[in-house]
Amino acid sequence: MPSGPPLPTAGTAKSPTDPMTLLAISNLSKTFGTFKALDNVSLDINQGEFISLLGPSGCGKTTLLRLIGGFLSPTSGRIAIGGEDVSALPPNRRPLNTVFQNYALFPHMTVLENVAYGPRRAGCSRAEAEKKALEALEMVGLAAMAKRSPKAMSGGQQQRVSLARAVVNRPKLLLLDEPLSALDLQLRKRMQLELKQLQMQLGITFIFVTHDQDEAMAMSDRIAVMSSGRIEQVDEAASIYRRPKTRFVADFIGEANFVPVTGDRRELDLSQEARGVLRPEALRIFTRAEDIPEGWLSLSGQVTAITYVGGLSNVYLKAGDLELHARRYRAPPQGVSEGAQVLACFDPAEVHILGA
Amino acid sequence: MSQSRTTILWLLAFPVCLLTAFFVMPLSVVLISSFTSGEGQFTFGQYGRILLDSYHWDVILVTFRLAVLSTLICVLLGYPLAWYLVRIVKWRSWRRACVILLILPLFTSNIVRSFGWMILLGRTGLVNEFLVSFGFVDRPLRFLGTETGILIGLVYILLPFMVLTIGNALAKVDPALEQASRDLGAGSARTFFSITFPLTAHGVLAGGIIVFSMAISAYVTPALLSGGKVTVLAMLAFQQYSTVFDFNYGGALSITLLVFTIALIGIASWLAKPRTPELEGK
Repeated sequence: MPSGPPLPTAGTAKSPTDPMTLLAISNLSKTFGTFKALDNVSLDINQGEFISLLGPSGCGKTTLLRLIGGFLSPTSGRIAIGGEDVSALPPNRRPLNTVFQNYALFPHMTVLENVAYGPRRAGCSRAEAEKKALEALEMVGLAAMAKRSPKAMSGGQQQRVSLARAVVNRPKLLLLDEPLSALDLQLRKRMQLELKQLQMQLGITFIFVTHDQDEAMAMSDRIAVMSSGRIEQVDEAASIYRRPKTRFVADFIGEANFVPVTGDRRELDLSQEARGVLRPEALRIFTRAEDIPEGWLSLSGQVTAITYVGGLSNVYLKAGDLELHARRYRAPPQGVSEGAQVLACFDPAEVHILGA
Repeated sequence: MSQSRTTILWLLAFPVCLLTAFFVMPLSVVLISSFTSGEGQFTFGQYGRILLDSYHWDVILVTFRLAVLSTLICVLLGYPLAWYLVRIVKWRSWRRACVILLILPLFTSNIVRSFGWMILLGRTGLVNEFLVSFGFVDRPLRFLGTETGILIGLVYILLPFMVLTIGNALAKVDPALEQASRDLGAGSARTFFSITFPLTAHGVLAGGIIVFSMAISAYVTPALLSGGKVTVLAMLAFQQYSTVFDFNYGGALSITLLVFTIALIGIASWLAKPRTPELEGK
């Protein structure tokens, strides 16, 4: 995987004093022994934004979150929240809260006491703290369970309690560390929507760590794709999908064919390195040359495998050294079977050339 | 059906026999002999001798003072030590080395270690030499034959039990809970008293009970370090059994010790029982 030179931040030209910028991370690095967990990362996050840190395990996304939360101290670099440098502040003095991966609910306290813990520390009286806690529990629909022990609740309920506990003090910034990873698929989908709604309702900035690209794409305003301690690309989901900056991003977000399309005229040149990204849904399979639309490029190849799942068909083929994958929302075309010689065709306008 | 019943009976018979042979019988023998006079008659006389005599009350007081103090000191020293081993040490081999160092003395004889302390705590022992040469004291302190000396010995011998029980409880507390507390605005002291300590209280209690019951029934360490000047209940009982051969009176002393110990542990457990405060409607 090419790591390349450090990429510019966020793509947008924002000065550090931009009033919309809530969190400014500049040149942040974290080294564990000789391992560079985070390598000179810079990122600006706006007020009210929902941003996801997305990447495979070990890419540094959790390290970045823990640095923002104050549970790790950076080797070098600076973190500012609302213009104030918080790099040296302990977690309890940072204006943010965290939803932990395994919820981290206090087992010796009731649900209400758990949620009231934050307001109590912020100086509220017991009665006031409990009133706020009940409101927060109301918001996640669990006010009726206030007196229960968190140990006696389901995973989804514990998740809601930890969410209520994290937002009860109305932080400027909420960090979420893979909060949905322990839930089953159905519940996860529902919680994704609820989280997004809650975020819009409260207007709190969310930084959401996940390794699940669908989750990131479904919820985020922007996604920061990370790999080996660096941010590869920060952008809206659709832009990242359409115009990935690196081969890693193209491969990690959705699936990608790499085709040797070059130049402004977008011609196929099989002698060149495959730097053109073509999404599987843009690749079509034909059996006869006369069916190919005008202006399209074609490669001839042999079908190696076909799958047909739930209205979605995938055709995998080999064209010379290239491995290609075509997808469409119906059954595979007539006459296409394993071992068949076919034409893989695409509109050159659909190709995104890396580094262009 | 009947076959499974016999099986159950057989299975039950084994632990019942074991418990009877090793626990019920010896205790019954001591209990019965404590209620027997020298002539073999039933009597409360042995207890009368103990409880109506102020000398015995002094011994009981010294015994309990030593046991309570060594338990408290073990908690105060043991908790930070356990914390260090469980939370601070990152390097596995070093942690293992520390645990081995902690446990190793338990494999050597109690008598040897107590003698060691006799040498260390003596008038010209290492401890006094250190204190004098660094100017902490003008003259060597007297440790041997004082309660302080016995206390030092007891704490040294019992500390590993405390560290291991607390460490075990501490290792089961997810560090994410402490992080969550910090995240919600609590400082490190508040986090300790609201989260960490309550979640390890059962370990402290268990360690406390172990240390207390071992300290209160300790014989070797007090006997060696007292130099005959301090007497604890176990020494008195040992005397009766080994030199006076008054099993009845010795038995009564043992039972007295047992009753007081059970009472104190009972009170301590009751005090430490987790009581989730009843949350009212508001």
